[in-house]
Amino acid sequence: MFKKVLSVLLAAVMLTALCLGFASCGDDTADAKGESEALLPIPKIESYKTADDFKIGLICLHDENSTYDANFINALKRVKEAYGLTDDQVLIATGIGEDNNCYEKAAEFANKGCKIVFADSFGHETFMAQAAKEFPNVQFCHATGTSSLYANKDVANLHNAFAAIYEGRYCAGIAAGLKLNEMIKEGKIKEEEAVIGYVGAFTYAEVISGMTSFYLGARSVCPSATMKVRFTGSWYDQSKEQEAAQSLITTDKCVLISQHADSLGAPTACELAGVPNVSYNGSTYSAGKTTFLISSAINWSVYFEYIIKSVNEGKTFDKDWCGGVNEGSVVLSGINLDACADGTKEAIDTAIAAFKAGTLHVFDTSKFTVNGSTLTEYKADVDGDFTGETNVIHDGYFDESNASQFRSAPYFDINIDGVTYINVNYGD
Amino acid sequence: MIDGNVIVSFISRAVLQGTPLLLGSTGEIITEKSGNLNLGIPGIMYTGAISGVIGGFFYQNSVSRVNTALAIIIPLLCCLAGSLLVSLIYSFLTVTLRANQNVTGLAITTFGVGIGNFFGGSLIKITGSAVPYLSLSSIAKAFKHTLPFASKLGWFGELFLNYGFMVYLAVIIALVASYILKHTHLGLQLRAVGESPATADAAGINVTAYKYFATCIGGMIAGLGGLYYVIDYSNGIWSNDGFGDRGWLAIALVIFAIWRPDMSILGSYLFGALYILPNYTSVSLQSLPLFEMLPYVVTVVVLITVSLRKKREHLPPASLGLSYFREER
Repeated sequence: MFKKVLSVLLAAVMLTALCLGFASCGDDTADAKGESEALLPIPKIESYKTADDFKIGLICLHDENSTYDANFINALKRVKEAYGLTDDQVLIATGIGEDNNCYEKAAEFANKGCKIVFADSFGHETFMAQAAKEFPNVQFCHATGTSSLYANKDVANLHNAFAAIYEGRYCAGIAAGLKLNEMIKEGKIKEEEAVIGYVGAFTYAEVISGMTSFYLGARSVCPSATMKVRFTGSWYDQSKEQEAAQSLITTDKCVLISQHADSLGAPTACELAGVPNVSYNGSTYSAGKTTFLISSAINWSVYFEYIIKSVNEGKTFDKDWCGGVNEGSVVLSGINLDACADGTKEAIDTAIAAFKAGTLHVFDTSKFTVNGSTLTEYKADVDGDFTGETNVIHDGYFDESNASQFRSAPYFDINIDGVTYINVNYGD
Repeated sequence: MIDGNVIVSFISRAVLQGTPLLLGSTGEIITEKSGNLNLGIPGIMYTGAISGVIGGFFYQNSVSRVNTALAIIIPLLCCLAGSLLVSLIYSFLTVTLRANQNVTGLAITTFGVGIGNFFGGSLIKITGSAVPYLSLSSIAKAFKHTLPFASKLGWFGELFLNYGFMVYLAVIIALVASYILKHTHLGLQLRAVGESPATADAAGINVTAYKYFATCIGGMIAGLGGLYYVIDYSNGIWSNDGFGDRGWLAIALVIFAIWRPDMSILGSYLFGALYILPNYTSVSLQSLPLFEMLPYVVTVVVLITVSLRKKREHLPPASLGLSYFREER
């Protein structure tokens, strides 16, 4: 009994000592400079008068607490507010799986009088196509899909859309490259130690296209940069992403991390380890006040405006559509003034101007090699049958996400020199 | 050649990953020793986490400069209160109303996860953040204080001293629980209730009181596991569903530890190590699911081994999962 009392007492004493010993050490970030204004802000939406009976329905895989879906919901809400649409005119369904529920919800929205039904997840596509065939007078739009120009090219009211997010990733990559240069200059790392770590969800073209554009952005300013990639096999797993980022830092000696997976796992690992992080989907500054650099995201409002105006004006609109920096579909957060290298804003502004002028191609084939040689031809899978059939290299660059010629969803799936995949076996 | 730093980092990551499992399984062991099979542990851990987050969130946002003592005590007390409340619901249903324990437990898990996501989502709405998460960085900082000289002691410091206080608290709780269960009168009576409530009742032990007491204490300890995960491991970042399926691992760990909290210390660090193992090897993406099932495979192996050896002290409490009806004696 005495021992029990003693151990309980000891535990209590330790706890109190801990509490009191460190009492009142506050936030050290009081004199921090914080985050700058957005480098590429969400464009202002002009007001617009729709028909009184106009309705749009949005089908989401998860709810607004998922980073991915929140991006769609917030975008539609911005349009709703600017256009003065009522709650009856904007219907949002959350938690709709990539199964028959998607068809049921799409049909329900069509029956309720929606002129447009939009679904946000890749796996929704077959069910959207099914509904599109049944309701020919309703426009069915689908983000990230691949079939509207191919398998479902005869279904006139089925549309796909995506954004040239690789342009945003490239800009974010510039911030990373300049940070690496700063670390080299300060003698923290040697040139050959400029290793970036990347936490990817899956080995899909969407992820590979994003990471490669990010890497090319970094290498455009820091030529010695290399990149190591760990895949988690999941779009959203906080601790898996955190552990993957952590082992990139400790095991693979990466000195800067970025990610394409939806949780805050990687930014958290970076903040704990004091390693700079380039985020995605929106600013994560408050989770990484000392390590967050910049974030890129897709602004879906532009596409929502495009389809709402087209339908209200009785115009047909593109079967497949892709917006970039020019259209306002790609946005950048502010930069962390306490972590980014000097000149980051200026360098990114230059790149943005070049994108707007159409003079900068991210996948310029003179800027990267594959197995030591420059690509002159690459047969990509653009029709979604998992075999490459269409050459997408012309005029000296890989023409990614060309919605009018190929398709909007990314098809860049090449492992270029300088990028090492750590936990995936290709070739078998 | 294997880098020494990588090994040290691997072990310390395993400890960090294992700690929520240790708190969860210690809580569940205490509960099960009273004959209550609480499958609501994942939900209770979730509720504990969000309760602490709610307390911490309002405290952090109400002051310009957080006081470390309060930043620890407020989330801790909120977490204990939240998990106590849910444990009381479970106890009332299963002990007083004698509802089926499996069904009640599963319902509590669904309920707890729902509570967590509902309040988590609501708080995120308050912040109006474009990326849906909450950041309690000042609270996390208070929880993660380490001894000032820990970082100066090289690998020894990183391996043994470089953790927030909850890691040590989890070990202390497990050791104290182990001692109480094995060596004290209180523990003996609790075990008696779990083995044969009728006999215990005949011996004058208040079965209902013990069951309530053990379930509530166990739930509160498990709740701390949820709080640790959000505040310490995730550095104060709450995202909905971020906690994952740790609660079920904690329940599997009870079997692995053959109902001994001291064994659970080793077990939870082993489970933590298995969880992070893929990151320290270059396995292909396709075989990741094989790694993820390792903790469960290990549990099945332990179950088989224990069953073959047929030692009575390794078996679960005899009346585990059964309601006690005094009238049926």
